[in-house]
Amino acid sequence: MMFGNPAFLWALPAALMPVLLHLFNRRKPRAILFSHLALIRLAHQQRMPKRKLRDFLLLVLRTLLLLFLVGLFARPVVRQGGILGGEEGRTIVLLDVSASMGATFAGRERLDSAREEIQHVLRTLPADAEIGVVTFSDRVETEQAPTRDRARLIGVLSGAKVRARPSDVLPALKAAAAMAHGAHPGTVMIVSDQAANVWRAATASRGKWEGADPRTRYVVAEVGEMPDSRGIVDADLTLGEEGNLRGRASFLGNRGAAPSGWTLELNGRTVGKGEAALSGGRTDETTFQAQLPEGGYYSGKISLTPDAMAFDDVFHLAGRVPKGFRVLLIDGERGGGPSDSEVYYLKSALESPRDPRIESIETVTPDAVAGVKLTDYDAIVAANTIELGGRESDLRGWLENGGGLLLAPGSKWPKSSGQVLGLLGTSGRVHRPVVVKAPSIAAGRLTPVAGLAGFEWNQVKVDEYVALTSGEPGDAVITFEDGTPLLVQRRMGKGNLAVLTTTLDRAWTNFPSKPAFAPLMRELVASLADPLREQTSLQAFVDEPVRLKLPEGVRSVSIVAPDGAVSSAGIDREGHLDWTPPPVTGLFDVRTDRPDQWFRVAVNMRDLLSEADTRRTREADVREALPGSTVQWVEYRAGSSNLLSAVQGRDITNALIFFLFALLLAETLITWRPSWRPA
Amino acid sequence: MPNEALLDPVVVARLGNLELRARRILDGLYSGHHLNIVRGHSQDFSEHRPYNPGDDPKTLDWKIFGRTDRLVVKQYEEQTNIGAVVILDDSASMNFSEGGRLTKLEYAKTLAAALGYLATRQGDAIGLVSRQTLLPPASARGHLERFFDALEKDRADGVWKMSDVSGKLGRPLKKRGFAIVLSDLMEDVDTVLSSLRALAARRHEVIVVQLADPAERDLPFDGPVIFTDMETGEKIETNADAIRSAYQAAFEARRQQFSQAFAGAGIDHLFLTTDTPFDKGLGAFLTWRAART
Repeated sequence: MMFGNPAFLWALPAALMPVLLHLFNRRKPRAILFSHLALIRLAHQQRMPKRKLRDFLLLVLRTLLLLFLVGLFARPVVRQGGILGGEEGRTIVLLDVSASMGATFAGRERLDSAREEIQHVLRTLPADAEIGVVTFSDRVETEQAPTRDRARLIGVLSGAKVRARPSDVLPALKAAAAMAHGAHPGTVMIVSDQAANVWRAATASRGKWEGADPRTRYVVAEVGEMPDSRGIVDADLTLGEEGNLRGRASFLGNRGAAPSGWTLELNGRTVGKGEAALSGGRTDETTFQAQLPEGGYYSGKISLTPDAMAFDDVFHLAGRVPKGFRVLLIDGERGGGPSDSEVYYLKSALESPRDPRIESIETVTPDAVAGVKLTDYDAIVAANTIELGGRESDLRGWLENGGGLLLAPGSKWPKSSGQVLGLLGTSGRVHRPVVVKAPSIAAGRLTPVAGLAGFEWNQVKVDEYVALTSGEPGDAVITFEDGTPLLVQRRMGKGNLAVLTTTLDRAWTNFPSKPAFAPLMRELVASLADPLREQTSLQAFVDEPVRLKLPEGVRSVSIVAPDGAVSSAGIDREGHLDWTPPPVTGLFDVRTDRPDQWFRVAVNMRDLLSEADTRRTREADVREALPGSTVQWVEYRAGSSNLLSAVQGRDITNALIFFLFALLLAETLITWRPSWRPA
Repeated sequence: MPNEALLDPVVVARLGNLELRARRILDGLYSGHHLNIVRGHSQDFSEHRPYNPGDDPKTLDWKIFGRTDRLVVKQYEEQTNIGAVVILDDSASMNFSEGGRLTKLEYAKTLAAALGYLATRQGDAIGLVSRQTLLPPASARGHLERFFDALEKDRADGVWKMSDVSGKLGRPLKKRGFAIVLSDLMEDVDTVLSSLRALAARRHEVIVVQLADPAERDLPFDGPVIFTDMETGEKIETNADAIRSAYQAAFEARRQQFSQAFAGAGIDHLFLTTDTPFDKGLGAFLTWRAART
């Protein structure tokens, strides 16, 4: 037998109080001369045996009463089954810190209950027992190698926080096995809500995981009740072609879940409301839309009426509405018909259908540029243009101040080496047929361009192109098969310069007639006008790296988590923020060294569908996951320390309370004398 | 009405002389009772005797009163020829008292003295039989003093056997007589009954006055007690609180047993405790006797 509060055992001698009182208060018999003893003898024979028995019982009862009272304070635990640290190897505690452990009941987090249960166990295990701790979600979060240092273990437990991650016990089981170092594996206690997804992978592996040892004893303890819950398992918000934000959300109702209202809040305003038709095990989907001012960031959330499992009641949303941009097309050689124009195919690509992001498109000849205010445009395309009537320097200045310029050659470009608009050096025109090499779409600048994936690039034939001067800076986005660049992009000051080395019309190439031309040109012009154009979604998931395009000129950022924690993140050469969100969900402020340039990133959890499933793992599944091992399943019961009972034995506090009351009742019955009975 | 306080056994006990006690008791009684120990209605007239306070006025001979202006009462054969004997239990148990009360023996002696006084005043013969005494009934002048002396000398001692004492009655109560037993009846019921039946068989009228100290009825002691038998010296260690109710039940059962046994044998039975004021005790006895005859 162990004791939760052994200090109270010092009070045990108090149990002898009734015996001592009985001895000290024993009265000397009074001698009485009596007339006749016949009746006295008769009464004595009738009553005294019972009386002596009663007195003896009372003495025993009162002694037991005090014993049990002391025992109650000492919290005795009866050993059961020998599942004890120190006796048969080490004890490793696996504590679930996945999102569902943040479920709150009566204002108390499930993780706190689990922590308390484990601390009870730690206090009652023998002092020489070596205990290790592993906290886990779907990965090992923290590890404490087996130690006798209880303070350290308590420290590890106290530091455990709920992670916005799903559950999977398998990595933790492996970590626990590794802690045994080949010695007797001892006991592994898994303290978790034992939700459906905790054991899914382990059950599938059927004990064939690294370090599995059937000699290991497993104590699988449920913590906290499983509530009726509903949750959002997925949501997104994207910019529609008509300029609206269009969203979608998926909901899941667990057993007993009732329909619940949802609310969409963006930038501090409620912009949508509805009701999710939920019931046990049923999913529902809804769509919504919102209108926001263009050219700005938005952030907010879609939320359900909160329940005990708060982590899936909110899905955070953030993004950016790209600004509408204005395009100036400089047509270097207008012919007689519209299709003779150098920018005919480009204009068609931008206007059929019209890119909703384009505010205006204007076409001018090089001579007319003199009358144009360049700063009225976000992007300029100069096709077959080699001079601008003396405004070449203005163009350069506009470019270096953040403009986006696309240069495309034509018959006016120098046949031999030379400078174009003072921006680009060429080695002259090359007249030979070449085939375009399929660019890498999955990674790189072409990623946001839809429609390129299945395109057969070898159909693009180029008969003539401009060779750029060797050493000309820039990144080749698309090349010919021999590596010669077809499309080059480079930074100039704060601006972006793109060069297509062949014509925008069909003079030197068949590319304008190919399906890939239109989407490529639309995104190319959009990227020149708005370098952040692809950054319409600012959604991220915990622990998954994200690459975010930062506004021009940003040199440093700090990221403020929803809980106020501040961290920094690196910026790459191209001005991208490379950041891995911590396992905390919410809206993270990305603050830059430019006070006017900051935005928010929404961080959510993956696998919400499985983590939000509140069904318990079946004991049979756990036994299947741990074949050959002794598995003790500790079922959750409200209001009692089940883990302590299971690991150390049975906590007999409740039994003591019961016996205490039984003894009191017995004592009362024995000593009770009805008022009507003669004294 | 008599002053009850003056007839309280404790107060009466302070009067050391039995004769005084008897007078005190009877003085108290005269005012409210017509007293006669032996009262009969035999048709055989025997003689006249002077009227004594307490005599039934019905027995007055008004014709003589009219002629002689003297109050005399008529006596009949039955009344004149009957002698009364007090059988006094003087065993050691009769010496019991608790709480400063009279012992049962003292109470019995006082009661016997009052009866003797009354009988003598009414011209009846009175006698006394105990283990230590044998005083045949007589009504002669000076007999009452001998009666009182015998009572005074009687001491509680030894074991009482009703058979031994009742056997002594053969000589003193030759004729049909009247036996008043004053005892705590600590003997076995059957033994007592067989002795008294023998008396009753000789046409003696038997009255048993069972005396008890209230403590013998209530057992008012607390906690552990060692009881010592006053007659045999036997000891029992017990707890008075524990056995009280059982004892009381047994005591009452025994009293009932005696009462029923006596009733069955045609023997009158009266139970008195030593805290009963004498006027009430004697009054009750006389009233009860009157009702029985």
